[in-house]
Amino acid sequence: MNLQQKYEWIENYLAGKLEGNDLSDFEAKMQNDPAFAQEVEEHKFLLETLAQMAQREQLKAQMNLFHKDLDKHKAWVFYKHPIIQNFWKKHFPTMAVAASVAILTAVGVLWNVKNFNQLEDKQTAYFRSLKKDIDDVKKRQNSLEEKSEKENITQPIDHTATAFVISANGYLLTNYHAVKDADAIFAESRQDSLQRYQVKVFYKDEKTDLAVLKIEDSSFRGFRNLPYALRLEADLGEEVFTLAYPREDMVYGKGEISARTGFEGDSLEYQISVPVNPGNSGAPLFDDKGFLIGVINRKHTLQEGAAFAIKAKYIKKLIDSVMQGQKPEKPILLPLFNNIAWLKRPQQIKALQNYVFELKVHKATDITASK
Amino acid sequence: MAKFLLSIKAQMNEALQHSEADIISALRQGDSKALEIIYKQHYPAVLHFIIQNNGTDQDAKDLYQEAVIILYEKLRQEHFLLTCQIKTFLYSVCRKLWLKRLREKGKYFGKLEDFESFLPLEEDELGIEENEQKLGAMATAMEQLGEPCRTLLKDFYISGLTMQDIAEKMGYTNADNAKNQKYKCLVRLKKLFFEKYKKFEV
Repeated sequence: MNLQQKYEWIENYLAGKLEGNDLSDFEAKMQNDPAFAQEVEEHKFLLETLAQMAQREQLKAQMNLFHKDLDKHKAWVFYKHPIIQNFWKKHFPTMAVAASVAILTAVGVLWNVKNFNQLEDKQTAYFRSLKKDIDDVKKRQNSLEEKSEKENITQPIDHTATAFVISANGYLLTNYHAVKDADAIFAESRQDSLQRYQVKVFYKDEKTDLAVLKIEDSSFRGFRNLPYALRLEADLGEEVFTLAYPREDMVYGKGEISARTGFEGDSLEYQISVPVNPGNSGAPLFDDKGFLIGVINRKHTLQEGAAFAIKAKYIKKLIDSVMQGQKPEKPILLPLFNNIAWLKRPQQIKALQNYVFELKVHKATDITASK
Repeated sequence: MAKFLLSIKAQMNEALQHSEADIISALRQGDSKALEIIYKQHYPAVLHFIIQNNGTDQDAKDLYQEAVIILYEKLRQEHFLLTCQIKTFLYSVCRKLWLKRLREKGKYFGKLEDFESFLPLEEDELGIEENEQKLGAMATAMEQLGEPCRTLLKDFYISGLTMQDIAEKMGYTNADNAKNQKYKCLVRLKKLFFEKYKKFEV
């Protein structure tokens, strides 16, 4: 038997093609001839490695396709670019020194110039200060007028509720019952910075008790990518939390999903054991990882510790039907990626807090009543 | 664009509805849809880890693909039991691989920023090193082997073409000629491979 025949024999054996006497001969030879046994092992190893390499190449090609999808969507724009980050890390001390020198110089020069000017301008100082006073009065008056226009201070606030961003290009979600007879609505957030926008009801649905609000305010520049995504089904006993405005400051509440159905067996809702107060209406409900799983809408008046939240599934249904039915000019794009899942709770809240707003709802009926 | 977003959205929702056990059993069957779901689901965590530890997104992609391959190969082995979440597994493997790369580059300063729970994987429990050695040896051997041997061996041993198919494809007069050629190629490959990979002992 030459080497070629031997290889063929081994390959047939490895492929399980040997039968009868042929097979028993082969096995006997493996038993009696250690060199042959080793050769079989080597051959097997060689072919397996070859196959493994081919499989890896194929998997990589497949994964590169998946990766293109991810790239297209730029799912991680929220990560700081490494080069910029490294640049800052490296040069921060130098820049800090340079900046402080620049500031000191500038302040020093200004101070000198001011002193010099004071000598020269003593005579005109009187007129100047008078003019400044008048300017100030003018400015104040203007700002008062603007303010009264903008804030509609003639209309008293009827009630407050909570809303949260559902699409980064300017849509909020809240409860239908919170905004149903509203005349003017303002959304306010006082976390990292004060954000205050006038919003209009874009779509409301009494059945699900959900309403989509659209920010219509010239000062609105769009939100950054939302840190949370929707999760359509949550399980009984899961830990959940919410951020809401039952009072002027944002309040954190924690609890669990205590039933899969809501008030009187309503399958639209979960029952949750989160402390809820008036003003919590429309607050987002997040799971442990920061996925949005519902919207808080009401509580049981007779039963302690039983509140209800509309399931995220129905948020999605509502948005899908709005997108098909109303075909809004600015599409409502539900967030897709959750990037706070690996954070601890306080960091999660820091990431979320700028997307939760207090709604101040003014009613037309109140104005006529007060007039 | 909107259409694309909707399709991604549909995929994500699908991903959310699949339980981990379903995904694992589908992956054991070699299901490519399951592979896609897993791939897209866990990449952000790994990317975040690599970026925060002085890496680039290219590094993240390389390591992540390697980790997914390891998971895939392991799950295809019948006796392998995954004892942690998929995410933990992928994160741990990437963490280990990144640690190794940092050490090689001399950029490891004794601490990594972590964002997930992970398995320490201090020994080569998953056979990562061993795989790297043998696949490295195979890649070099195939490279040195050159054409037409490379295509011939791949066609026969991987694509499963018959000698008759190969003879027609590569222009040999008959199947026996192709077979002779394949035998010569295999002998050369074996020699090249075991030169590189001497550690192999039975």
